Amino acid sequence: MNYPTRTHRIFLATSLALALVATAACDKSKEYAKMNARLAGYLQVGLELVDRQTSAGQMSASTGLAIVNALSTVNTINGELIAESKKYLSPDGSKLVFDPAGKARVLQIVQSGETVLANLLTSEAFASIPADKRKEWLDLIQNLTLTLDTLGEVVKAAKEAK
Amino acid sequence: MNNLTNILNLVTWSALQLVREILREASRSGKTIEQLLDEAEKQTELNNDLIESLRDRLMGFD
Repeated sequence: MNYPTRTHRIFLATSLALALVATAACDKSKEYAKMNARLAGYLQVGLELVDRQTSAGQMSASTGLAIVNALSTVNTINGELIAESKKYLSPDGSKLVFDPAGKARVLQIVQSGETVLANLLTSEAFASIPADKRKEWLDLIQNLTLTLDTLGEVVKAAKEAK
Repeated sequence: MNNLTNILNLVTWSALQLVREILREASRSGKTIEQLLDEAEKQTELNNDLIESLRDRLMGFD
């Protein structure tokens, strides 16, 4: 059996370290893109919930409309995040490389989404949701907020392009 | 009885959302970043269609 020489070991260790660094960078970018997809999915769930509850007479049309307007704003914000992110996709498509201005722009968009959701929670429309239906909405809004928070954290932690 | 039905409905709905999210997450894992962003963009456009039809219906109520 041939044991690896010192040079082989150094080469293997360096390759492994480089692979780990590349994977970590790629995984962070992938996590970011997954958050965009997850956000869009949660918004769809919210819109379907408005549809179901207003159709069943469990929510008034005006409350439903106010919630749809808030979800619509977050959907537009998610669209902006996706469009902005696509500008920072590396040429090989393996990771997102933000420059300082791009990072600041994305964080600003994330923050505006969080503000819309925080305002929805304190709105009259939210207060008028029947008590037995409010738990579903609280869970959904918390998931949306958490997804935006995670998106912001991933961007903050991302290395900047030189 | 009515409360129990509501609780059961909520549990069923939450379980379905969890299953749906697990299935979505599994299907996302093998995709490239660009594919994931495209998927999110497509869902955002579908959401816009849903928003329009919901607004039309809800504004007709009042």
